[in-house]
Amino acid sequence: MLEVKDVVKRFGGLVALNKVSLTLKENELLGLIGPNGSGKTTLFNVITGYYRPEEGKVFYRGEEITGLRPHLIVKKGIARTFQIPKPFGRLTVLENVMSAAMYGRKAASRSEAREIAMDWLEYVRLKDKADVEAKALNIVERKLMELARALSTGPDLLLLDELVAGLNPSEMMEVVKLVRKLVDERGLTIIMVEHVMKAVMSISDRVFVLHRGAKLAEGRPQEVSRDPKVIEAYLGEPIQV
Amino acid sequence: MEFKLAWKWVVIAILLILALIFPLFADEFLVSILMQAYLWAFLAMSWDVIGGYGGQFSLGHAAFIALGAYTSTILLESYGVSPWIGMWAAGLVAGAAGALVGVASLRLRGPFFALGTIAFAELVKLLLLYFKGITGGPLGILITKSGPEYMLFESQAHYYYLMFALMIAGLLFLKWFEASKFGIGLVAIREDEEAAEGVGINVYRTKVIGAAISAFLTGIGGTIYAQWIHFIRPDIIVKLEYSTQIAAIDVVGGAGTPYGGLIGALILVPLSLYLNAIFGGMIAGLSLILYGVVLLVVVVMVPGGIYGLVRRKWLSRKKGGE
Repeated sequence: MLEVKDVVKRFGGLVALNKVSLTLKENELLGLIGPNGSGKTTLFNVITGYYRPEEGKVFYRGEEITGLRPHLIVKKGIARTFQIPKPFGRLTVLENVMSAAMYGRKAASRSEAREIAMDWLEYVRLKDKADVEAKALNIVERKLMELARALSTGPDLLLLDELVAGLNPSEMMEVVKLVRKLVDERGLTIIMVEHVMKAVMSISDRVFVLHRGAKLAEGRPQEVSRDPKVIEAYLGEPIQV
Repeated sequence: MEFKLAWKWVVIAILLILALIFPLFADEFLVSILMQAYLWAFLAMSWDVIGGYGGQFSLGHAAFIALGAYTSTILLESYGVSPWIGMWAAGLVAGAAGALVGVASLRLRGPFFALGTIAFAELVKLLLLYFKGITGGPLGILITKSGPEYMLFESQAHYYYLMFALMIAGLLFLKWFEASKFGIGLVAIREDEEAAEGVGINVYRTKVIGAAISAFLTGIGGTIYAQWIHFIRPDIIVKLEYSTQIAAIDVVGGAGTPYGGLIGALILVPLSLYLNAIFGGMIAGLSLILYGVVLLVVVVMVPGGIYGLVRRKWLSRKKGGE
């Protein structure tokens, strides 16, 4: 479904991504992990058109989308959330999510958009905050709203950038279950960047480890967590499954 | 709930009736002041599209007034086209110029955009002075026709109703605009450009069209202004003072809301007319200073303007009452 081929992204002298290749199958949940600064968010930014890579290509359903503007990538069916939530502060939660339904792939009318938005707000259990200004939300609610907003664009592929970071353990498990259900019940394909090992390892079908801008390991969660290279990269931090 | 809603309509109806019968009992001077407040309210609402909802602080909107005023007046005086038709051409010419400013806003951020629009207005003034053959250069154009078919009236009361209709149209437009798909998209960009792209909004297109809509409306306001004042000249329209006044009215009233322009104009326009009448001859640029100070105070002390302040107070009282 998605193929990233030998992507190189430099910032001045810093090589943020060094010939990274990644393929993704339909209806798969891929956990993308790696230490701080390993290039996870940069890879997201390349896939979603925020960065144009110096080398390499990105294909989506066989079509090249390298360097396409972000709003056009959305219309192809790829949506994302941001590491630090980016609410439209002075719009209501409903308007935030509606904007995605109206401008996203579905290009829904206002009344359709309202329905779509309400459905997803219910899904992330934020329906009772629909008429609140987004800037009044707390961090957890902001993250959930971002998830609902991304979903409202009508994506087949969803990129989640540290969705559960900053949540307490019980909230985390709730959200993680929601994400898994998106794959199992709604047929979405998801790449999930996460620092919290427990979250990634428990729900991913496959894990991809980035280290200093290059692939370090790839495979099933259990294999990856036992991989000595991965353990070393995390400085011996024990990985729990 | 229904009771409250009914009250709202009663209040609106009373205000409407009061506004409509105002010229019957007030003297011409007061009618003229309120009429000018309506005109500036409409101009501030036009500015609001890009300045408030779009968050792009333009200080060049006097240029769009001038482009609108000149377009319809040239059509009227040289080709005999009625301003009832000419005002749409005025809107289109100003709108096209607005699109150019929109393109600039893609590159220039914050204060640099504001400076860019000041420069743009100066450029428009120079062009109006330069093309003497069409614009009359520094001498300007005098409107010589008369009659309502040319949007020219005998009494201030007629202009009062014209400006009132214009202001109401602006208000209804903004009410519709802020809930429209385009309006939501424009605000989304103001709030977070990257996130806006991330939900599929074409930032480039939306900014340019937003600026064009704002300028289009301002151009129509320019036609109405010219029809009222009967005489246009580059240096009396393309003034930084006018550009600042438009922005100040909207920011004081409450930028990014349908009511901000009207609230701001009802307060600032009488105030500035009054101050100018007293000190205008003695202190040059007084109103520019006034607007500068008022803008600063409001931006620092009352973000959201008067409308925002009242709304917050009202909401917190309602919450406290429950």
